[in-house]
Amino acid sequence: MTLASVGRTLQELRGFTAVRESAYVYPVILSTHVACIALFGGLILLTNVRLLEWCLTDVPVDEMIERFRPWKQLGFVVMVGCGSLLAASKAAEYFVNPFFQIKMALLGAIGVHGTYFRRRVYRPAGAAISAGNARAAAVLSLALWVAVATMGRWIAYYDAP
Amino acid sequence: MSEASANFLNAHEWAYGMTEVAHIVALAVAIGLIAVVDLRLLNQGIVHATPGRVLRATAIGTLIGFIVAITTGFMIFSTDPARYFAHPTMRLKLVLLLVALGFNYTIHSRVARGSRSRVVCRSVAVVSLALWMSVVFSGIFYAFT
Repeated sequence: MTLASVGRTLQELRGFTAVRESAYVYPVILSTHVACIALFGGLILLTNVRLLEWCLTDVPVDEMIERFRPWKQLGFVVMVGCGSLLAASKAAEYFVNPFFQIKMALLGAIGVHGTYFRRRVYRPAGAAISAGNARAAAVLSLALWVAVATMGRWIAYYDAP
Repeated sequence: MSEASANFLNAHEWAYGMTEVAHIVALAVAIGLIAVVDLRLLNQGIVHATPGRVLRATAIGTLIGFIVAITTGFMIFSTDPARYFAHPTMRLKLVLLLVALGFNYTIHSRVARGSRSRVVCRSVAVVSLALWMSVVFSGIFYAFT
């Protein structure tokens, strides 16, 4: 069983075939995916710029993180939901596409990033956040998200041999 | 130099791909930062600061995002201007973009800076979000229509 055959089986499921072959559902899902990237991206960017102490320094950083959290979670769920539908409907091409594979690995790295900095930065539970940790978390987060967006766009540029 | 390949982006696929990435990242920065102001107008997000302060803190980022997104947009447009300009969905996108930009730098910024009633703040935030989402949707639908 290869990645390509798993992908083929997945995309032949009736729901995913319907998404792939639809005239409007596919672009609506893609547009929603990109719209969420924009909305979610602004929250991520501003949080990271605040962690770097470049703006709104009088707003407590833990309060900003706390207030943004439900919106980030909502954006993330819709974005990943739409992205999963798009990928599953073209799974045979996507699973063997190196840009898609790198994108998934980068999303895994974002998971590791979130876990590592969870207590240190994102949920400090009253403890002070060290400036070094805040800077490291911000720079890595920005780099990882820009890389994810880049790989996402480049999926379209891969020609299977 | 009249052939299409004279355009740098048509001659180099990687340059075209990089330009598209810059376009998407820049539009995410601009629209995302406007959305943070809209959230504040909806009394969500950074409630610690006034909408005016959130607007001032994000304005430079939004402007840089716009400049990069519009510049890269023109670069992509220049790879096949006749086709882009003749396309009804692209024309719709350009009109929506002009309306959204106009709204952002007039009514939106004035309401964010002033102390308006809750109804006005909410309405402006909803219109702003709807306009920017319509720009994104028409940009994607262009490729499918």
